[in-house]
Amino acid sequence: MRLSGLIAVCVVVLIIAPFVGLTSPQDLTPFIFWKIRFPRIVNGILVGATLAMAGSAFQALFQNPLATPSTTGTTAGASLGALICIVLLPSDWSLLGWALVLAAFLGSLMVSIPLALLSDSSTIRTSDILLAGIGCTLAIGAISTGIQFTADMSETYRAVQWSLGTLSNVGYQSTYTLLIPCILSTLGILTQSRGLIALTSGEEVAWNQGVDIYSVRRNTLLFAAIGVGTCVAQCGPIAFVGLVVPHIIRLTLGHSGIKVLIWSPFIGGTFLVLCDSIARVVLSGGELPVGVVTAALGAPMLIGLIWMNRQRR
Amino acid sequence: MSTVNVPLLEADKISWKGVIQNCSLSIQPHSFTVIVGCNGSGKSSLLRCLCGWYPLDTGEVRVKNTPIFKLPTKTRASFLGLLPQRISVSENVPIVEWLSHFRFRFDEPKSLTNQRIAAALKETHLERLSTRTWPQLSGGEAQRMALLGLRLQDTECWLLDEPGNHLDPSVAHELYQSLITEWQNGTTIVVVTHNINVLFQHLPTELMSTVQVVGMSDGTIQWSTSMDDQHLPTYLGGLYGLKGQYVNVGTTKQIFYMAKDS
Repeated sequence: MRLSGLIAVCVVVLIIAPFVGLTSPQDLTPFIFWKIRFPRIVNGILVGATLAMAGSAFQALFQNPLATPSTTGTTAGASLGALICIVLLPSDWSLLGWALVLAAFLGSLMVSIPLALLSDSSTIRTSDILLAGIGCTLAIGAISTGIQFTADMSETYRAVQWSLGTLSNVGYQSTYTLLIPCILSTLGILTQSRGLIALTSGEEVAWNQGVDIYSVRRNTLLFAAIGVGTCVAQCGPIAFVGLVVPHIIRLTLGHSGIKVLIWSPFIGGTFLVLCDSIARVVLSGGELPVGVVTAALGAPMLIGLIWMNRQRR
Repeated sequence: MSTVNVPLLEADKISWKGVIQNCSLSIQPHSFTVIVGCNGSGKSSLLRCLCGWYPLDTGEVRVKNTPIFKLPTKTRASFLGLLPQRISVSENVPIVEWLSHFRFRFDEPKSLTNQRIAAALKETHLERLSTRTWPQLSGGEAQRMALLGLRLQDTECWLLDEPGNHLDPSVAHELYQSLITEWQNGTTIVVVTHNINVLFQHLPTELMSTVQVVGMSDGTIQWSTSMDDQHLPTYLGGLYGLKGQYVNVGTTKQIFYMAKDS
């Protein structure tokens, strides 16, 4: 019942999304639909699905409801790569866009690969990896702040704008770039799902049940880095999706680990499309960065669901 | 080649971080081993070394003559299953899904896993708990579920770390009785416990001589004997710094401890 309700909400959001921001339905010409709205919605679905999937996987992996790709430094690494590009390269360089994507992707891998290698060891506990990830996030954040401090006003403005996350300046080109890494990341994490959900009783119990926890850790971190790195490179760091979507699923469908993992891409994709639609209309004559809306909408949704569940107990 | 006398599990002079020092132990297939010792003597750490969870500093643990670290994870899980003192579950996970993790080593369809879980719940009269989530279980129910999980894992040897802790006497008795039944059905049991008296009550007298009791102190194995050893109370008393002696309660032999100067 709840599942069908959730699916119905997703379908309605995806049907309505192309029309949001138009003065009348007739304004949705084939050009606007196919050249602007459709790729934007597809990109929203891909990015939202990947971020939510990575969030669910990290929450299962670290047995911590607050874990997200941001916690392990993946997002911070990508942000640093992009920031270096914005500050060092000339703003009128024709290949700046590509360089930014590449730098952000390399930045995310720069953090995730050492972390994944570190995790593939029996002498390292998951809490150590989480701690190392938080350490990386803080250190990289400090470096990013230092770079912004030395940059001029226009570079800092562009860096801040990028760091809020947006789907507005992406088109089919981005869809082509996002498609394979996002699908690879989502399916890759799904291949680890049995091991990930077994971690709910802790690493020791899972290990004794026959789960190769070291390979689950390494593969999950790498698959997540591929997807999250590409998404951050394309759209900037979109906050809150990886954190809030797994909890929305838990609070509506229950705490089954497999349900959370399977439904994360669907709900995550729809959630980001919904947030992007709101970002288009909330300001008259302008657009808010979608990252602002994900946090502004996600937080009250989460609190509301917690409130409703509290009353049901 | 005959496999008689090839230990199912063998620790050869193992050491781990000074907590376990130069311990050697041999567990035969279908045997019942009780590990005793005072708090902090290294019993739980020994179990974790035996199942391969702790990376050893020196020595080797072998399963049927194969070094444990060379075994693929699922093969290892077919030989050994560990029940820690307390399982803490990070989610409100439904019981059936939680039990399904114990079938991880089997590459079987989900429907078959669910059928096996339903049958196991029915057999153990725990069906009423099937709709609950893990935090909704009492301590006793959680321990029953954990034993059911090990049964579902269909593993040759159960390693149990003080399974009766935190349980009321009736549940503890039921738990040890079910361990003995499991042993009589062919499972190898290695159990860490402080409550050896409950075993005296449930073990058939004719099988006492086949049960191995291992005493630990300061990370080393001090002695190994059988349950019917007349000197067992003295050995146990020595571990705890007390005077141990047999007393008869009804028809059952029990060990009673007293201060040495009493």
